[in-house]
Amino acid sequence: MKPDRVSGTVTRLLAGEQAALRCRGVSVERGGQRVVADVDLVVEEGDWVAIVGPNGAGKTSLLHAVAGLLPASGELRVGGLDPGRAPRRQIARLVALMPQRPVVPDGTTVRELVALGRTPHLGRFGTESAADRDAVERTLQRLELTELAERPALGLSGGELQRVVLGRALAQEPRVLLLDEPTSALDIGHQQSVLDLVNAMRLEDELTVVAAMHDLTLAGQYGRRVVLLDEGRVVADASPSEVLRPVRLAEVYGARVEVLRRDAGPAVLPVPADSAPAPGPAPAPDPTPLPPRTLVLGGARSGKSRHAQRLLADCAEVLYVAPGPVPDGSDSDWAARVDSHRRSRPDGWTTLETDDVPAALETATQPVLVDCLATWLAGVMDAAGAWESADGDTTWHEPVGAEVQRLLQAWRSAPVPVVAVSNEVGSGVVPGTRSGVLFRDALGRLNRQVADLSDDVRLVVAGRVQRLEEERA
Amino acid sequence: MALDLAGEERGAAPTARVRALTRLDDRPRMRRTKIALGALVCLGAVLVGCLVGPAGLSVSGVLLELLDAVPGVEVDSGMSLTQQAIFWEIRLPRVVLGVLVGAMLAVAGTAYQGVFRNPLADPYLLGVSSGAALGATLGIVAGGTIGPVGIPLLAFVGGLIGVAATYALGSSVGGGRGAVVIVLAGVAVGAFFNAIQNFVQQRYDDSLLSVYSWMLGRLSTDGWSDVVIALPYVVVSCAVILLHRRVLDVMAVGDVEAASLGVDPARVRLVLVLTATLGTAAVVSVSGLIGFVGIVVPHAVRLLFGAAHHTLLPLALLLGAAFLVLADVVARTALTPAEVPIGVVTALVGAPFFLVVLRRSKGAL
Repeated sequence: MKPDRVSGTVTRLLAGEQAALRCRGVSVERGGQRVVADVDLVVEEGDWVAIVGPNGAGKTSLLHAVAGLLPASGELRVGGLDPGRAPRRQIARLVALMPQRPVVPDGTTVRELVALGRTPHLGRFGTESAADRDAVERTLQRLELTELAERPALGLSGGELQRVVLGRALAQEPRVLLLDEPTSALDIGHQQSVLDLVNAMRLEDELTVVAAMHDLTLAGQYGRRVVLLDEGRVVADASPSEVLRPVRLAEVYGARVEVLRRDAGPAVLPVPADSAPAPGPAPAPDPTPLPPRTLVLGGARSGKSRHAQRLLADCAEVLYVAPGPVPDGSDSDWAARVDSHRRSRPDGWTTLETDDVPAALETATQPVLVDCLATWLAGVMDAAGAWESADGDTTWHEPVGAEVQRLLQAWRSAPVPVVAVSNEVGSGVVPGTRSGVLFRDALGRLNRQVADLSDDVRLVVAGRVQRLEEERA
Repeated sequence: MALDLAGEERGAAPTARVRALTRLDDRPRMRRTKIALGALVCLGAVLVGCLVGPAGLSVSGVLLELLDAVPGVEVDSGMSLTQQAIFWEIRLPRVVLGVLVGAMLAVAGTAYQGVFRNPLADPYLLGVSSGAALGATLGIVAGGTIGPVGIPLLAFVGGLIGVAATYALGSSVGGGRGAVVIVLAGVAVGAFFNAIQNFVQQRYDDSLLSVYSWMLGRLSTDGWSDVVIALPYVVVSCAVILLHRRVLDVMAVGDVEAASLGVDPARVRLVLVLTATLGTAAVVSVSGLIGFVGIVVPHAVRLLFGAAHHTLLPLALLLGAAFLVLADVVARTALTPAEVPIGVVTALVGAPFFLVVLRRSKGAL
């Protein structure tokens, strides 16, 4: 079959199918390690999808799998072809890759380098037709490279070289253009001009662009969709403003960032470790990217304590506040559970066993984990003898109310990152009994009030974590 | 006025386009000029090779004799029967053999450097030389029973075994690491075969001189038999490599980018290494180990005429042939009536020449 007819067929195939690229459960292994795991991704024709993620997240591997350069398992279709199976020439007519650091052979001129893009279109014996030469000249003109055409490519600046390599990719006349961090070696002006150029070509040629990008702000500006990869998995796949959120970036990148909403798209700013450095000896930098107040809710044995500990896993010193001792007369199962929580905390953490949680929060100099508020509340109610209060009580019974107010005050103004664990319902007491119902209502009220003062509320159900958003009226 | 300006602006793009297309037309012509130049140098070298020697032959005699050989043309060259015999049975076969060996080594060297992206790669890189040397040594040591026909055959087989061992070893431990592992495997196989060859050579030290002279390389004056042995391999091998000229340009950008341009690097490497090796083994079996041609000629051409393989390969072929023919002229005339081993001449002449090219071009390799 002649090249023209093949690409014609492919174009028709693409026209019939909306998606230029379709991944279903795609995994890639490299050196026995899974670098891309179960990726589902559909890219519509003419779209620009930015793939972001920390170093080693699998961005390049995913692109290479799409280009058929790495074997992948799962279902992968580019323009109806399987890049792992179809002949190399056929894939190269459909998909072009713009590498991060292109290899420039010595003695090759700009025109020769661009002409390499015609390789998959050449005849069997590598003869260039007039159409091939014409395509090269057209590309040189479009990218304003005609002046540089006879220059050795080795002597070009970074921006010029990326333009040449883009030219080579365009001379391939692909339907899908893969960019592997195309601008990471460029200054900000050249980054913009190269990406603008890609975008112009995308609009003119109805190209589909899938770009692995390092700069999150640029990714959000040029990508119409952002896919966030972490350890080979898709963590988020949505519009730039949905994906680029501080908490998510903190979690995936371990970075302190602020995200500004702008018309052109979200702008991601790095935030210094201590934005207001105090005079004198600097306080120990706090490495935690955690929002200052986090409430972790969950049922019994849901894994909520473990999740809370993981949130603080990066902090060297944590004050572990364990309300107690366990009230007399409570069931032994509960006592055993509380004990096991205390034993499971990481080494190097300081344990403080106290009923005065508010005081502990006020005086803390290191991140605090309170495990858990339900135990504290039970202790406070126990001490106040509040188990026999009036029916249908919707306010705090004194002196429990005063104690709760102290806690909320300390929670709001804690000078350190604080995480508190609480039971999502009043488990640990027998439902149906009078004291059980009372405790359930009281705990629900406490949780509600603490949650209102928290930056982040998470629900743990059977080891799975969900971040909770406030319901807007 | 405004209209004029607009007209000018509209005219600018087509003008630039025409200019670009004209320049484009120049390109193949320039390439043809270069190749024609190479062909001229090669023919000149052949003529010199035919003319120089103890029995003086005249230019016109040689040219007329060649013309006479064309079917349907009858001219009198004015050469005596002895001169004719010297020309047809001694001079010409040796020159043609020089052309074949020089062309093959230079083209194979270019191909090796291309597929391995290594400027130091030469046709002997993957164990051809040590395998062939071992084969030839065994043949020489065995003596009369194997004789002059057996030695090239054993050298040929030895060379192929050397490369096969290298490739098998390289690809079994390679695990996708490609070129580097194969080159390293070549070093290991070469060392292994050399050790055996040295051992055999030491056990039979009476044949030391013959082995040594084979290793340094020489072109024989035995008539056309060597040419007939080498010719088919050289033609097929050079043709296959020349057909890969575009692919070799693509290989220069690295395996990953080459693959993204629609080329299968591992397959290309296998095909080209096999054909280059086959041709190299064939010429080594008839000429011994002539060093330096496969590495100097491609680099000199690259520095003088550019690295694009569509020009580089034909020029390496032509100039490699010319270089070896001229080196052979020096080898048989420098110490007449004795012959200097041609491998010594290629290195002695080639090294200074190469340094001059390197200095003058001031380019990086």
